[in-house]
Amino acid sequence: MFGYIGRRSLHSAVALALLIVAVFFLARLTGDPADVLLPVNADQALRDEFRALNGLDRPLLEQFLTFAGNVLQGDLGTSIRKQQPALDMVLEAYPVTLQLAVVAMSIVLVSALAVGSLAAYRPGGVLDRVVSVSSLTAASAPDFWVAITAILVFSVQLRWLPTSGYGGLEYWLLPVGVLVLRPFGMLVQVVRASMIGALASPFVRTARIKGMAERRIIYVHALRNALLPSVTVAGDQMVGMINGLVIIESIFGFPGIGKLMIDAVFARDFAVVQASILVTAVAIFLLFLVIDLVYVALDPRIRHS
Amino acid sequence: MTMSSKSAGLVFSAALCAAAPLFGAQAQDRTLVVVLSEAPVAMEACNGNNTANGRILRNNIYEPLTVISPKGGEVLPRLATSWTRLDDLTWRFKLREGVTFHDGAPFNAAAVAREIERTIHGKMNCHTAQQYFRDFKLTPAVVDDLTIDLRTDQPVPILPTYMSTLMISSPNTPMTEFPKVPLGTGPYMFDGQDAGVEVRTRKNPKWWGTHSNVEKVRYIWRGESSVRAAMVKLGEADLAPDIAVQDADDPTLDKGYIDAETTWLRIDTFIPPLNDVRVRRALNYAIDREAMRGTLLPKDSLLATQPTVPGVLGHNDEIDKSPFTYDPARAMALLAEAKAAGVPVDKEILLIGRTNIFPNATEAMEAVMAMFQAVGFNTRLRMVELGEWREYHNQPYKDGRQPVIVQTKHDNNRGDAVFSLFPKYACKGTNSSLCDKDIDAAIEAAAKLTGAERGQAMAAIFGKLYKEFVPDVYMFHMVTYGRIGKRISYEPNLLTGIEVLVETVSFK
Repeated sequence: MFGYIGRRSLHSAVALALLIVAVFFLARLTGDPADVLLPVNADQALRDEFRALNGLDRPLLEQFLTFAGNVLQGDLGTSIRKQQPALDMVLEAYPVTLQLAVVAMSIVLVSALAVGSLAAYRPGGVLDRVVSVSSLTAASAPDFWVAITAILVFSVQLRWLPTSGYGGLEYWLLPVGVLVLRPFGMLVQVVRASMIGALASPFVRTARIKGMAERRIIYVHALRNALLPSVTVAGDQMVGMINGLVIIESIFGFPGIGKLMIDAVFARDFAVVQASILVTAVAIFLLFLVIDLVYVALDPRIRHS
Repeated sequence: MTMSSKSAGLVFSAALCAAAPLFGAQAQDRTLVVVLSEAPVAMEACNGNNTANGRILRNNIYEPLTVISPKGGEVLPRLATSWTRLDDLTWRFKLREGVTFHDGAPFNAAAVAREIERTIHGKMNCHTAQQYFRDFKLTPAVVDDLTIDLRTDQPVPILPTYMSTLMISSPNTPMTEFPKVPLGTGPYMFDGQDAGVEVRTRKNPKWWGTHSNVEKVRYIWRGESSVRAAMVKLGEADLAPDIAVQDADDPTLDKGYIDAETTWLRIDTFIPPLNDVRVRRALNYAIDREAMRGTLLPKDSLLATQPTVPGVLGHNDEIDKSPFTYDPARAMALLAEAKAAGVPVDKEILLIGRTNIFPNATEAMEAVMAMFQAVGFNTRLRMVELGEWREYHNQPYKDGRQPVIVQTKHDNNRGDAVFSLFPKYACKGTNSSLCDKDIDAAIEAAAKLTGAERGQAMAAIFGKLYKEFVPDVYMFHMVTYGRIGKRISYEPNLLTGIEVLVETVSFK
């Protein structure tokens, strides 16, 4: 196991190094910070001064070498807008996004597994049809619209919950509820399809012949076999979440990485863009590692030696 | 045992006294909650004129020597009580006595001189220096604790106006970096922040002026206008200084105000066919502005004939009486006349719009393109974001370019039209697509004048531009809507776009 983790870490370090190069040069393709951060009537002399002050007038390769050297010392640069260390800004914002993502995905997993399994038990039945239609609807609903509608209904009309803000439990209900909807809709269908396949397999028939309890057949034997594709899809959804939840964070006022990154891209704040992407890449690497370990736990036939 | 009436009365009174702090606390909650459209970038005085920062910082935490009246552009005292022009190059400012910074440091001439050094001559990315103090050199000279001379290298007749942009921070503020704690002289002092969530201020008990009854302020931000509007409606916030027109649906809460912004389409007068004034007039007659009001733009938007709003010194009230009307027949006739004279009116004209320049900006440009095409123009629209837009908007322009019309917006909240005239219409103006030596000479001459004479001279330039040159397709002076909660009284004004003076907000 540790050998496997070590090898994965090495592969990921190589990938991370390549990402550092790519992020540095690709970020600069977005344009010149002087275009965005200076007053509209800034003349060429001011633009030149600004670029010189912020080291943007040096050759690109020289800038990259400086950046790479600093990265090795843990310095990911300074935000050109806020004059704060970019890494500090990112590490302040990231836990918020992670919390949202973990809470939401936990709810998605538990509920999708339960609902998908129930629906698969009688394919074509009433429950199956209701689940299919509602999960498709949930999977198709755009986050932005759902969020605004949820605020209108639960906050403005019913006054059950606050509109937005980052605080106690009541502030989390709406954003998490909105966040859960689409991945739940997608995952339910995956679980349902996998379970239908698993419930039709010979080992399930054998278990029934042997008189095993139906609940045990579904939730212990069939579900375990149906979990692998669900874990794959759930992992993919989780990657999307930890990349940043721009819409949710913007609408509900959560100070997460999504909003930070988008604002940095628009402002050409290269240091913050780079730091955000690198920290996210590390988080995704760790996530993939966890998923691989989950695969092994679910199916001992998979070996990572 | 029964309780006597007296005992019951005592118990009742005791219960009331015990409960009083609860009721008292509610009645005494004087925390104003302001929901902004974007987070502040930095608590830095020299970037306090930027909207995102200004609404928190300007004249709340930091103060300048002077301020501009929102009602007529007059320069009023703030940290300076009076000013005198000693000669063409020197102004003397008398400073307010008895003022201290939030950290206890005294406000005096040395502090002003230090701030000038820090903001204007320093090495930070200071928006104030970049925007306002590039065209002349400013050298402070301390005369005594409450007197400072400001010397320029060329005559600056409106230096007091310029000084309204320079906010003064404590001499204990670092010279070369943004402070973590902003220390000004203002009526409210910084009281902490939760990164990405809110900024808090509280009343400065030592402020020199008259406070309102607001004790504390919480600044929060939500990018989505409908959320801001809902928050005020529900009492989660007291004030949203700007919400989109479609969310301003409650006349008991919403107030529209002219926000000093003007939008127009800037014509590239150097390139055919746009170098022909008949074509430029035709462009103006092609637009049905009334149809756009109340649909794509707020119904209270004013038709514009120049880039400054009424009330700014130099604004021409006469030409406001005759804005371009919608007259497609006249537009087509002008085009035909130009074509007959050999002007290449069939050449494709590129329309450049800027995404998010104002709500419904894209839709407005689509409507404009359709209207141009309806009278016979060959136009193509590209919506671009800020970085690319600047390439079309700012000099130097590309050689060999095609004819371009650029959607633009400008706010002159300094109260003087010179801040609009030079950059937009002078040959060397960064955003100018016009070059006429008579206009240049007129701008230069007007800039040397003061008072009413100055205003008349600048108004005359706007008149000449409007009637003879037509360098723009004039559109609208913009209206913004603010939502004001039931707990407070507040009147938004021309400057609410860049500042929300808490001293003018009060709990009912």
